[in-house]
Amino acid sequence: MLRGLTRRQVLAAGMMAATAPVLAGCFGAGRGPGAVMEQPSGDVPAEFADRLRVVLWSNWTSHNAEVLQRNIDAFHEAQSDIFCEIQIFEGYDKVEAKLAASLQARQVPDISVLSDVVWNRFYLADALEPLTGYFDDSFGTDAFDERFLAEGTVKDDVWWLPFGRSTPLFYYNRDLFADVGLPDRAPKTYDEYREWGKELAGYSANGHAVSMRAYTGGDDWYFQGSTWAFGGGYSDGLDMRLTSDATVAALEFDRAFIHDDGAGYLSNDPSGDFVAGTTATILESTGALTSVTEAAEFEVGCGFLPGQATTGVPTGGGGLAVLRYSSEERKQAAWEVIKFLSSGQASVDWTIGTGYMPTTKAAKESDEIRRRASENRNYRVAIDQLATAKGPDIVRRYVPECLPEAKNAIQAVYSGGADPESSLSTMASNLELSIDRIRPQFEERVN
Amino acid sequence: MATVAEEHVGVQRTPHPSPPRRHSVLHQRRQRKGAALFALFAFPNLALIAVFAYWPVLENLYLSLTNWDFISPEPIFIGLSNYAQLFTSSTFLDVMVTTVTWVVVVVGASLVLGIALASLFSMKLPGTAAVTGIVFAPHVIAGAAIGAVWLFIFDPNYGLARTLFEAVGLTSPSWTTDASWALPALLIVSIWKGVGFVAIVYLAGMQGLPSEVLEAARLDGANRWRLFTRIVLPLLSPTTFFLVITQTIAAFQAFDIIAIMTGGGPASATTTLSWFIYEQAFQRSNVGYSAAAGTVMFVILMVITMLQFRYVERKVHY
Amino acid sequence: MPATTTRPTASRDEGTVQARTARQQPTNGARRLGNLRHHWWGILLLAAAALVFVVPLFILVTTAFKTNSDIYTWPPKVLPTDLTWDNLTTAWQLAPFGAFIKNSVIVTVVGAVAKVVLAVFTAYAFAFLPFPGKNVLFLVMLGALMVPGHVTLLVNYITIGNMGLINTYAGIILPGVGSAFGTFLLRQHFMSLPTEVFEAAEVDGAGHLRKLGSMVLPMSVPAIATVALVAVIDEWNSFVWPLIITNSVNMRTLPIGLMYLKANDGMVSWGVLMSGTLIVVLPMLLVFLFAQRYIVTGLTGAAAGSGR
Repeated sequence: MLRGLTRRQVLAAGMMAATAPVLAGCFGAGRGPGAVMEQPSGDVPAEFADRLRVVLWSNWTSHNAEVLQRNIDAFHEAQSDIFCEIQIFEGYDKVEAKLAASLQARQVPDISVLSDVVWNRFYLADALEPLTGYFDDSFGTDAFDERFLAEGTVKDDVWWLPFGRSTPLFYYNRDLFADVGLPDRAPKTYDEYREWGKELAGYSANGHAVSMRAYTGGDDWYFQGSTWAFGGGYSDGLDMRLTSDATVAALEFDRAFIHDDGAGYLSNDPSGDFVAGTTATILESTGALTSVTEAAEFEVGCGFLPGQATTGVPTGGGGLAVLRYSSEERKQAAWEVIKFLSSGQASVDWTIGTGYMPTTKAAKESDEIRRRASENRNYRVAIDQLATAKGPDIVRRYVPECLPEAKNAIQAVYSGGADPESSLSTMASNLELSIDRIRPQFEERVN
Repeated sequence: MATVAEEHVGVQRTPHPSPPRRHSVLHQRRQRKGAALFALFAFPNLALIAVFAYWPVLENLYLSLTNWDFISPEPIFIGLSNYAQLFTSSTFLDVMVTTVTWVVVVVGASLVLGIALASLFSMKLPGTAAVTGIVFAPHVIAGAAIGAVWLFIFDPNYGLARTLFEAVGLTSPSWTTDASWALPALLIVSIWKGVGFVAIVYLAGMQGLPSEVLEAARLDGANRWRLFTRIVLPLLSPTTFFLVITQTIAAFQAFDIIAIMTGGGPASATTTLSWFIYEQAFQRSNVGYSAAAGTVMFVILMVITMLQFRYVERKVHY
Repeated sequence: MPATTTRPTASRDEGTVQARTARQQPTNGARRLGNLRHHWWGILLLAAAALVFVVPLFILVTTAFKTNSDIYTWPPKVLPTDLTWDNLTTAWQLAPFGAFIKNSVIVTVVGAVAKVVLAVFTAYAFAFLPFPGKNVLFLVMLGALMVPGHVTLLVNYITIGNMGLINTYAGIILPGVGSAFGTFLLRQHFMSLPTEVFEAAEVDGAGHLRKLGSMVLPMSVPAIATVALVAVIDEWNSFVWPLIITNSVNMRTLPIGLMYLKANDGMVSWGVLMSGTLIVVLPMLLVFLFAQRYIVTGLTGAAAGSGR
């Protein structure tokens, strides 16, 4: 047995030595400029078999996916050259992971939905197609809301177009607020939020205690907002501000809210809990407005996010980018898809159906949206709040490790009541390596 | 990911030795024909294993020496830095602690409960056959499905956990979002899923025990407990050893339940080595680091498997 | 059963076992009652064990058919007041379960058959055919069993990608089909078959294919059944690889289809999730019910056909 093992070891060592150069060569080939990769395989219905196929990778599931599919169906009826296949992966993370893996397998979609904190990395890696050149007189950059378009622009080129953009809203259970005697609005500041939480203490309905706020540990978006509200933030450019007093204060507020007051808790499914009546309020994306309102059996109210020292409203959501490694023909076709989705009725249907913000002039100025905004006060809130919103801090956008580290930090505090300052300093020290890693590319391609 | 298959390794007979051969021309021709036929029969399978099991190991080894985020065109060679970072990282230490806790608790509890159940089953009381089936059933059900059901059971508002806790006057913790309860929750689910298999293997081992020895001991006046600890347990030690090894390997690779119930959280409380490997590569875009951790896991499992073969071979040769 | 217990001849063993069984399990009604009373604590433990394992499955089935008002209520309702198919229909609408089922069936059947065929031929080769250094080769092959799955994910994805097989049945099946376990189990079994029959056939001039087909296989049905069943279970429940290798939702298999259902834009409806889970669980449970004997027998190694 011993002899056999030794022989195996020799065998293994020999194989390794022989294949080392082969291993190294496995990556990188076929990624130079001008390289064209294949599309991923999928389903093409018979009726579209003779059209040019464009593949769109989307993160939206069930309800929002239906809305998107309806728009694509309308696209298919409106012209006869292009067929767009939507392939779905649940969540922005999964799309990102799939896209990254596919770049290696050299099979990429033509369009991909990328979240506001992910597209930048693909930009740094030179995987996206610059879109400025695709605009023309019939469809110019003024078709899009300037603020949103600016968020997708680097060095005067457009790389990422707004599509499912959102800000968080303050959702509250109006019936419950009335019952407890709280005013029918959102709290103006986090301090006021906390006071209201104390007033709610001890309240129960349907056989279980009701909390003031269900926190999520799966997204640090809301925390990004509150860091700004308290006067802090994640970073200034690539310089971290995680351990500044203001940022620590924001996390300390959450800790006290949950563990000192007992007014909040970490939930697996905040919107589910909200709809079920287990929590009186949640901070949640505008993109969930339609589905939450439909599912809730009470009056849903919306308001601005609380401020504190100042406002703290992060933008978020996803946009569309075209992959550089698609073929010229398919990239043109992809542009047609994007044009269709971003203009006319399709654009209106998308925002109305999902609750995402209108990102195109066509949508914003349409009658339906105007009517909706005036009739539905919740819908109006999202649009009005946009005035004070801003995009994520640089570190959150460009450093891949930032999101997982942030989630770890807030989970440690929300769930285990860890000390905010030490959680944030752990996060900061963990991120240093990663920031250094991307610094050269960042300096070159962004600054 | 350990499959159901890999846990069955070791359930075998002693092979018969082959008769001695003489060397003649006819024999040599037959040898060559035989070897050709061997190639025809065996190489497809071996080739598949080489491509899809061995090649990735080597490639992974190479990646562990690089820095890469999946998205950039080329991995960058950095030598042993990933390993250096791994072995000095307190996060990795936590991961290993969680993993070892997981393995020790799950394997230990499964073995103890398994042998208890097996003893119960071996008494052949009425209804044993049905209960044996019920206890074994979770083993054949997908981990994702089991995780989903237990997610509901652990729901602090509407799940069975709340019923049980309030029956004794306590409030149910929010299991999967509470850093102190998340790991115990997953351990419970993991043990629930695996104990049936252990029980069945022990039962088979018990049924194969030489009855004369048991009879002799019982006639000698040994009471049930003594019979169990002094005779049955030692006789079952090959079974125990086999189970320890296979269950340990399976526990190291547990993934589905973590994926669907906690996603490694909250705050990495349920991040075991297998989840760490996945998370580093597919969520943190830290491919080289993940590959280094993967190599560590491979080495650990290799050591464990080698131990099994050494032990079994020695035992076979009395 | 590990390869370490001695094997007394069958007749003596059976005789003793029979005698023991007769003593412990009297067929006489009165004696059985006496037995029960003596072992009442055993019955209790059995019932407790059964409860621990049945209750979650009970919860799964009842919740799948409960209305939301029965689920989201406190104190909890053990049994549904109204049975509803709504959860099932919602689940079926939210995710293409028809496609999931079809994919799982295809992947499982093709994958399991391929695994068994490959294992049989490879095991035969290792057991009966000469090859220089085949023992070393066998050990090297076994080494594959130690490779943790995640380590292979990315590289296999790239390999399958280079073959153009992403999002195809072949892509889902191929990496798992070359299994070392089946080969190992069958080789051990083949090598323990009595050689006298083979020697007689060899004298008669029987070739290897005939040996395999008319002698080895019929004598190994239980072992092959075990390998087949284990392969079926593994393929059906396989999770991470199909997750990575599929693009379109319609290509997904049941377990990862369940993940898709759970995602559901962030809102988990327990009734819907449980009904989806039920769809995933049911086929394997049925297979298990019918094949339980084979699975358990395979494990005990006391295969019916060994005739010792």
